[in-house]
Amino acid sequence: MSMAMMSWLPPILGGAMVGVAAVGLMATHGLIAGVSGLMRTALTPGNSHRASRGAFLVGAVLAGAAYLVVSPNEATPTSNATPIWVVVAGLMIGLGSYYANGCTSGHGVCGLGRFSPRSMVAVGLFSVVGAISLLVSRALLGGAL
Amino acid sequence: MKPLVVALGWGVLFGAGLVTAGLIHPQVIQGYLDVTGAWDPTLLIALCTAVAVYAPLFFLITRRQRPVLAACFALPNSSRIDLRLIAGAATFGAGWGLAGMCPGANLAGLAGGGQISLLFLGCWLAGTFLGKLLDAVQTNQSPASDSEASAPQSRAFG
Repeated sequence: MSMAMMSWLPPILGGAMVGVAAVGLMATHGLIAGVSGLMRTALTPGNSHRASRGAFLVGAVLAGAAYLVVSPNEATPTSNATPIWVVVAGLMIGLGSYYANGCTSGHGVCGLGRFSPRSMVAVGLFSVVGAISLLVSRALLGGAL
Repeated sequence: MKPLVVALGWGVLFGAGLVTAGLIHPQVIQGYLDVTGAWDPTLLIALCTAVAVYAPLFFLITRRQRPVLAACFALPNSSRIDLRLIAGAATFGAGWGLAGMCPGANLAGLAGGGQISLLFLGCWLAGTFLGKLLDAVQTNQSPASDSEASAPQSRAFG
């Protein structure tokens, strides 16, 4: 197998797992597997299946924890951003996904997967603005970010 | 009890998929956005595969009367492309590029991500509740209802 094929394999396998899990939640619970939406609705009284929404999110955390135990030598996530910029980014992600009614999983996987025009706009827009944001933040802050 | 365990299982598979694809690493996410530099197709490959799996099964599944463990499918019914969506997606994108972190990747990477991951989680939640607060202020001090029964457009998205 070529090097190029080997580097494609993890995202294809991982993406397929994400797709099955997301459509599985639709099949059993009738819910969109969008992480920001599940989090918000799980924490808001009055919604249906709040415990199941929470359980899905807990499952995602547990998968990452299990991976740590199984392969302790793998690199753990590290950000280039300093804490102050992580705070700014986190607030923007929270506010943005609230107004857009979705994030990478909800608009990306589920929204595009059901051909939602709103999601097509959202994914295109947050990708383009994300690219600009990365470019600008690097130019202005360089290594200080 | 059964719906809870099944949802947990889907969540584990979802998180394991993000880990397998390498998307818990902010550098991989920023690599997708780094179109003028060292562009990394990982996120795009994973997203396209996930959509390719989701789409046909979604249309097959939603032809049924109801989901296996629930009374109905909770599908977003709005197709309006409004300022709210545009402003939200742009704000999301700006934050996404800044730190290379988003909600799903944050949760799947939480166990190994240390204080920075927890800090992001806290600020993501704070941003969400800031949005709810702003909505509540705007709609004449009556809290913006988030329940599916009374929401003007379904909010079951994410």
